[in-house]
Amino acid sequence: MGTKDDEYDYLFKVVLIGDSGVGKSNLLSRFTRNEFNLESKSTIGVEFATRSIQVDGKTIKAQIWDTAGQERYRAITSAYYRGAVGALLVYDIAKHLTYENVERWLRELRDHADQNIVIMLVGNKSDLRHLRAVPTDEARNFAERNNLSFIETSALDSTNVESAFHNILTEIYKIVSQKQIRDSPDDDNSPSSNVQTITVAPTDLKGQSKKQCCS
Amino acid sequence: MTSRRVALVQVTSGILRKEDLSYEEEDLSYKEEDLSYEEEDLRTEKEDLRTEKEDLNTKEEDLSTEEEDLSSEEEDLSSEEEDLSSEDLSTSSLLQGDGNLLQTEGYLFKRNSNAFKNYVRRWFCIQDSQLVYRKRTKDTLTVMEDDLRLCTIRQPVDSDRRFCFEVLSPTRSHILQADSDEECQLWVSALNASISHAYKETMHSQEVENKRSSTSSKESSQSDMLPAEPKQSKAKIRMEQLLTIPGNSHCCDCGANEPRWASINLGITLCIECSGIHRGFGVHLSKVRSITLDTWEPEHLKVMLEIGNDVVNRIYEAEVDEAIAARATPDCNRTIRESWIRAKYFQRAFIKKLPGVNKSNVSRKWSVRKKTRRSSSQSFLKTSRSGGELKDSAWSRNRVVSEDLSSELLEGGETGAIGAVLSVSNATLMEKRSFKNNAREEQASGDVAGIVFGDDPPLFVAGLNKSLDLESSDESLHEYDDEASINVGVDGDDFTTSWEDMSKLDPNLLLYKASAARNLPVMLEALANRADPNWVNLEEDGKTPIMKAVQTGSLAACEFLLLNNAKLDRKDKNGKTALHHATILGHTGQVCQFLKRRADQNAKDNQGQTPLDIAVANANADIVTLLRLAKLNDEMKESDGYLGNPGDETFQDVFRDFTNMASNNPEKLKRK
Repeated sequence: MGTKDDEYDYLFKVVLIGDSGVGKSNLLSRFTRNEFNLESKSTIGVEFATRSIQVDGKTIKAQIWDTAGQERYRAITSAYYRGAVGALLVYDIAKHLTYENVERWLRELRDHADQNIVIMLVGNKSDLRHLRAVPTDEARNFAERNNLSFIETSALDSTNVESAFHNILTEIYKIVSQKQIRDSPDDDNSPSSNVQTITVAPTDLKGQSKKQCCS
Repeated sequence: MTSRRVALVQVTSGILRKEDLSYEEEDLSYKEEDLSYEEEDLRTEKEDLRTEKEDLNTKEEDLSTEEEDLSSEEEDLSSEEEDLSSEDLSTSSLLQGDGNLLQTEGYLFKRNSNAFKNYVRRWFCIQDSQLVYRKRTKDTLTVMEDDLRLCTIRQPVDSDRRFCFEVLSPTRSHILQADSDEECQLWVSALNASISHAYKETMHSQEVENKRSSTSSKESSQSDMLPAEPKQSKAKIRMEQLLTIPGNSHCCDCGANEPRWASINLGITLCIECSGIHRGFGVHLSKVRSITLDTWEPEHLKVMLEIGNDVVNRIYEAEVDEAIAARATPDCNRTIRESWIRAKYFQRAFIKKLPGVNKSNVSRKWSVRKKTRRSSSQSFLKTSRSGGELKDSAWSRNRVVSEDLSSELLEGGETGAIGAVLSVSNATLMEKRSFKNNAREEQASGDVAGIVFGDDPPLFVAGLNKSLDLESSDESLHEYDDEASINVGVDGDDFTTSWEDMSKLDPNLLLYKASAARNLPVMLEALANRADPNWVNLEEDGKTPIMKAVQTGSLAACEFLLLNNAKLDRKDKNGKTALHHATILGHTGQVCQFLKRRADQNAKDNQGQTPLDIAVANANADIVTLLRLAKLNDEMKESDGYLGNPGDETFQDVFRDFTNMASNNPEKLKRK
């Protein structure tokens, strides 16, 4: 659990979601502990692990939330997504249904997560070539249409696991760091980009005054 | 490239759910993006306008004109401003409160504590010594700081932006950004004014009313923007709930009207003078809260609703001896008040000792009435028994109300019930009863006649073939609707705990049994008799009272024990803590309650199992999540210090969710 690397520049919360049995927990254990367990049990509730990586000379600590895919093992809380800046949406390339359900998971993200969350579509179990049910191109196209990044991984033989996490963390880092650069000079961008917060009353005031202006 | 920039700006806008964002607004924000590039240039101009407006405001106030005029002036100004920025409304909406700035509101940027550390725009408002905000009009207010008296306002140490100020509370720091330097100053002075005002207010007992009237005119003019203030209405509901409890409409100690304070571990309401004395004795003896000004945990309210001044005074003023201390009155001086309160609670000079063993009752037994949530009707601490003795009259704490019951009881008794529970109300009645019960005792089987502590009113007799069957017409007996509770078959029958010999009647066992019966009045009585809240029952696996309370699923019973110094780190003979027991029983609400109280989740039982091991084995997703989240929170605190880590905020959110669910909708927590 990386207690040594307590020093970090950024802490990003990333959630792993997707159907039961697609390999979320093994992706997590492969990335954080370099472990893989063919007989791992269903995740109950939520599990956490952290690992720090270097991007651009900065230390980024990823706090990864591995959630239960199975409905009955999911706790009743939307906090899974609260504060999350990234999501790995995992399906099993050998089980088409898990790919079909990606839309459902996207909807859940839309309902509960920050609208700016960075989402990566992950086709796991790429080692099962002979059993492939979801063509890579199809998934890649879907990802493009939905503005998701895309990668295929194998937690079993480690293919792309490192890259998947590295890519999403880098992407988040870029957004956060670029935003910080932009932040101070463009002070007033943020006020105006936050139109969502405007309440009814001020809008009315404005409406009235507009009329006065024109008349 | 342009589209990339837009995306980035969207990121800076922070945690806004997609559902919140209509397409229209999205379009606006793109337009805004373009506009904002020009804004920097226009800012100076705009600021001039602001100054102008500021002047106007002052003038308006001097002339003491109506709010409406003021706001129409503002409209004119804002129309000019519109050319500069179509949506930058925070200036026109930052309405200055009345003279002492009690109610100030407007837009501020709040720096998020998440990884993006981005700023989000929220509508902020100072009210009732609280700093609150909301995202949109319809949203409920979020309380950023619930007691500004504990906060300091200062220049931020490391601010990446202009016009910022920092609100520093004992546990958190918030960076807030205003739109201009003037507004920043205005907010800072408003917050400081509000803090000093809050201090002044606490010195007057009529604080709430005053504040209401002083802000009411403002509120009415902005009623479309400000829905009812949640804190006040919450406090009001709380007040109403508390005052319906018998005795609570007068100070428990001096009888003054309209008590606005409470001691949550004693379960009483107090006037401000008496609350001051209680405070002086220290929180280990009395935990004082303001009914109107403090934020209350739902569990504390539950405890309060189970006890009340009548119940407490029947215990703590059972045998008042004014030779020890003169009774406090609403107008008495501090010395009298203090010595009365000291004698009453801390010397416990007026309590009635538990009945001892003597030859007349040696054959009898005792038990504690199991209790469910207090019904809306009054309930009294009542001692019921068969085979009453005059010298036990101390147990007769009932009001005359119970006379009816008792006479009914007499009839009931004559129908040939084997056992009966008698409601004692006065000596006369007791004589009758004692006559009747003597007869009964002869036919009583071993487990029959005894004292039942803490009966609810409409109960008694009629046990047909059951010993001491407490007939009850009170349906609420079976309603466990207020708690995440499962009616675990505690020992004994359906209504009382198991029967114990009188020789075993001591405060510790009484507390233990009362905890198993979730009977808070009896628990209080045992504690008044100096029961040890952490007493270990060697005859039952070395369990402590709180472990028994866990079995009932009652948040109130557990909280009451915790408030009275029960410890969560105690283990029973099997090495299990209260948290282990709550986990085993699947009582999510209590797991949440204990984790909030920092129960040690790494404690291992004798099989080497932690609560988490058990929860995983039981596949209880909610409890697993709570336990893991608490663990994560601890780890984050260790590595991170306390401030500004996202785990912490999520932790608080989740635990608040679960607390509210356990308190208000426990059925949601029952998922199987």
